[in-house]
Amino acid sequence: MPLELVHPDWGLIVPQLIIVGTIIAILTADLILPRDKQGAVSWIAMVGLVASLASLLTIDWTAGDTTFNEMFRADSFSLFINIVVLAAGVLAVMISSSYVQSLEERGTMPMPEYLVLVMFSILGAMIVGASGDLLILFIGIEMGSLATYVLTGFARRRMTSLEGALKYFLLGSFSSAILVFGMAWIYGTTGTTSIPEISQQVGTIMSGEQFPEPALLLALLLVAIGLAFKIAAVPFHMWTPDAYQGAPTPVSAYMSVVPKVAGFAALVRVLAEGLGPLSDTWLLLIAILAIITMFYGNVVAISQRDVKRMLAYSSIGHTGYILVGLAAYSNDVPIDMSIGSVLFYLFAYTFMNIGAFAVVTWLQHRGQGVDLDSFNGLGVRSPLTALAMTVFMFSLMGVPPLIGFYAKYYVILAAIEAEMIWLAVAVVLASAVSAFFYLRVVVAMYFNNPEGEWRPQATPLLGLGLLIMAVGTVALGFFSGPVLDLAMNWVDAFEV
Amino acid sequence: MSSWLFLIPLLPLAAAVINFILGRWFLQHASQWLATLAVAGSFILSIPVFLEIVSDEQAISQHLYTWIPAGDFDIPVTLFVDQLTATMLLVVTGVGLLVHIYSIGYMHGDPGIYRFFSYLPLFVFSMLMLVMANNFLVLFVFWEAVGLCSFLLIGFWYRRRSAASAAKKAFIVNRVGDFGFGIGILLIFVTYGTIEYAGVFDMVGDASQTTITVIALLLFTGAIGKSAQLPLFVWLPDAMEGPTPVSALIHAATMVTAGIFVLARAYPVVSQSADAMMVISIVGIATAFVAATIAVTQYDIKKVVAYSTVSQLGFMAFAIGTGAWIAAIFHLVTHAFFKGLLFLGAGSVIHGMHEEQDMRKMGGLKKYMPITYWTFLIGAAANAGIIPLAGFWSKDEIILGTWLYDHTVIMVIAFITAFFTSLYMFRAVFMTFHGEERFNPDEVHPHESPRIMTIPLIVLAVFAATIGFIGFPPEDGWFHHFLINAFPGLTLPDVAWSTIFIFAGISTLIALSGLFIQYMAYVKKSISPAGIAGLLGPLYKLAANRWYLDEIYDVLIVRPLVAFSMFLWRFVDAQVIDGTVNGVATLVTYTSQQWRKAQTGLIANYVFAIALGAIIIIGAFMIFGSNLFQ
Repeated sequence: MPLELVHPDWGLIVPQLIIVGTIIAILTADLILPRDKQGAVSWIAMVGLVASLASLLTIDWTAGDTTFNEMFRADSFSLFINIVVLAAGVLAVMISSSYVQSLEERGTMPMPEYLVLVMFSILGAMIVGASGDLLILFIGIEMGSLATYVLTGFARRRMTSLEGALKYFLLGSFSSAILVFGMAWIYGTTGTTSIPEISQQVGTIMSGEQFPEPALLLALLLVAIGLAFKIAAVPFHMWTPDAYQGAPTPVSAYMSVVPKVAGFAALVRVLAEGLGPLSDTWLLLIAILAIITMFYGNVVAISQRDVKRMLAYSSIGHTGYILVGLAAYSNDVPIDMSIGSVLFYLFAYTFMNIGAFAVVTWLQHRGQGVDLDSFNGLGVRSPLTALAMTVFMFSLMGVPPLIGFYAKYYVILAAIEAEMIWLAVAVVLASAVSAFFYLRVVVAMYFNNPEGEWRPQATPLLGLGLLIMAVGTVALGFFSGPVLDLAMNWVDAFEV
Repeated sequence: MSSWLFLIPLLPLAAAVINFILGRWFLQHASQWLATLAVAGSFILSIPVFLEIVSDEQAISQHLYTWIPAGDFDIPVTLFVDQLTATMLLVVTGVGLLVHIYSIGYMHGDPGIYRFFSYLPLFVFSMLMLVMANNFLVLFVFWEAVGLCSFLLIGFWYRRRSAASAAKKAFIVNRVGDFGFGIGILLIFVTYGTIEYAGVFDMVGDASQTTITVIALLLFTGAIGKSAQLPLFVWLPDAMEGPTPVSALIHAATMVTAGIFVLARAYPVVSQSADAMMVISIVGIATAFVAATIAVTQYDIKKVVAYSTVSQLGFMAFAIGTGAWIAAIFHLVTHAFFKGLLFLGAGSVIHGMHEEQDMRKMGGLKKYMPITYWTFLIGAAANAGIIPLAGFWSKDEIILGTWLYDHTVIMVIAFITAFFTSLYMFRAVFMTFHGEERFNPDEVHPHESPRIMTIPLIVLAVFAATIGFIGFPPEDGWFHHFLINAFPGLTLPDVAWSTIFIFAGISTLIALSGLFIQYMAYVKKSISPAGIAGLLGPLYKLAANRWYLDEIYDVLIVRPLVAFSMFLWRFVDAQVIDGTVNGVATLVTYTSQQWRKAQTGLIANYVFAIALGAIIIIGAFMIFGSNLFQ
């Protein structure tokens, strides 16, 4: 298609434009406000995120409109990704405001800069969700990744933070190279970067063939490996524990969710939508990755005493569960629950995982460390926080009726309907292993005596965030039906 | 109006959640007003719903959301209100509101007040959802939820050992009934392929007669537990360890009637099985009789009222069993008012006597607490069936039903039970309020309760006296014509006035003779209760020891169970299971230790891992997944 400058449909990109506007507003506020008043910018960020969330209502997502020569798509899939990412953004700002401004880290951390990076990362994830073209998809991923690298090293006086950032950056560049290489192969074999057109071309090439073209297979594998890094699937997960442990805790919370959501959105867009005709091949790959990832993550998490590191391995384990949803892809509408279960899981994961990291942040504010002993006696010191942490741990474990249970339930259901019983069994077994380290936190909170000094401190915004996430984890479990219905609309989005 | 239906359960739930989260630190005593206002809101909203049902005669329902979507099987959460539910709505929110107001006075100064006013609206919410469910699964969920609230509230003073064990007893005994109930619901699903009321009731006839009987009996098993029927009623008297307002709301007016409600709700199923109906009526009449005999021998004022509740629940059960459906629900409604009143009155006495519950240490309280006395007397007379108070109309109709539907044996026992009812009720009145003062006036200074407690008493007394007239004339009253719509296929019997007069006459005679005997025994002292007890000998001992049911359970169930548990613990758990678990855990921990060594911290190694992984994946797929090397 010849390149032409067209008049874009501005209405479709309002949510993204609001984020851009918020970034400009934050930067302007940085110039105007005196240094000691800069806490106010977190309110600008939250207003911007909520406004963006509200603006989702102005668009008719069922129409599946596109703009920028079909490079940008506003369909039900991108709607759900936007909801998850923006909700994660609001929660991340709520839990990081006090941390960034306090003295938990040596040296000052400028609030506006921090928020701008978070917003860019959010914008990147939203673009990935809405991409209809490999180029846009790659731009979105890199926009998000670059911002996250910097955020990881944001505690710039602390060596571990810098170390994590550097590792994340180097390995991330390495995997981006693999990803671009794979995209180049796709372009080479199909002659296009447009995802729907790739799907058509691959369908034509594949018709009547028993095996895929080797070139096409190589393209598929390279892209899958590149993206497997972004979602921290084993064996491309090596950066995760170091980066999560080193990063400032609210950043760990944030990066355990939004980049992962972006990675899964990209995987779904490229594999299920673009390379759908090759699904026989990549379903096997995804299933293998899922098994390895969930067992590795959950087993290694057992021997961690640093809670941030434990949560890093736990998040690897959850990547495995979500991959099971993708591996159940059959495109056998309407009973195919695969992508719906992936989206639902991401939504559920946002609440419970950011919540778990938020409790660690909450403890750090009160003079505690990040190892398991910091949780000793929390049930006595602060019953409500301990209750919230218990809810998050039980939800991550998958205990009904919390939202984490339904997330696993729908993934298992998808696997069963795709006749992959062994994958469903693997999810249950891995969950059983995970109970060990999740419950250990609960045991420490309720059965051990408090130790170490306790520094009471008022952190209202963080407390409110914790309340929202704990209530959300419980209440959304009861109301999982409507959320799942929304997630299941992906079927309309992918009808080519 | 129906669009606001969801607010009726939502308000108490919101109050419960807010009080639970903020109560301890921020609200404290304010929590009592929040809970009371929320329940008041539910009550006010229930009135127009009730009126709409009355005027339209159409059931209304509101679909809230789909709870569990799983392919072609889904569980909707839909609020459903027909004549039966509308009646329950008013009873639950009305009595609930009065109990909330009363509790403000009764629980005054209790350090756990926010907890109390969090559990109590939670119970109201659960009970409302139970009656408004439109399918058996949601019903079951909230059936368990009210059981949980009951557990929490019985054990509210959990530092008291007896309260904690009474809470456990209630929970465990109910488990027996709930187990059968759960199986019944599974059987319904297996048989009919759906659990929604409408679907099941349309297809009742499709199943075999045996299946219908089994389903009906399994549902009744649940009712045996929850509505305290023989042989599972032992938990209810112990449940009196909870605060008295809880006894009034949960263990008299609402939760214990859930079993009766479920039987009435499942009318299309239960009425199809004559065998199940027969079992229900036999269990019901046996419960009514046994509990009434025990009540006559008790000295704890709350226990008397508790056994009386069990007995009245037996009346409702055998009314359903004999086919007098409307009379059963009618009695449920009147009972909610007069029994709630009796409990609150007993609570007022206990409050005024500084936590004394033994009637042998009371007497002559009439002059100290006149409002409590008069309201308690109205409640007791209503329970005993003195014309024209509420209990007379409903109970008389139940007994009339046994005659109309040809259950002569049950009728005779019912009359005898009615006599006992009058005996224990007036015994309680005379022992507590009349005769000489048997307490130590230096230590105890009886006083009337504050106005916030007496006003609910007066309101309830007004209803206990007059509510019966909604069912007048018998078998042909306004309530009958209203409720008949909820029982499709049921017809109101045509009863001659002469029959009604004969039965009313016998009932009144029996009630008055009970009153007279107790008056002679406890006020005039011309009859010696101890002498009669001695005369009856073993029979009296049987009743006084609660028919030895607790002892029988101890020997037959508790002790073998404990022995078996010890075996499971010492051998199966400690050796087999722990051994396996520890073995697996050791293995997993060892694996974990080994695998974590892969995480060296060196970037070169990480890059190597990525590259190696990529090469293995690409190599394997190229060789086995393409035609490149084949």
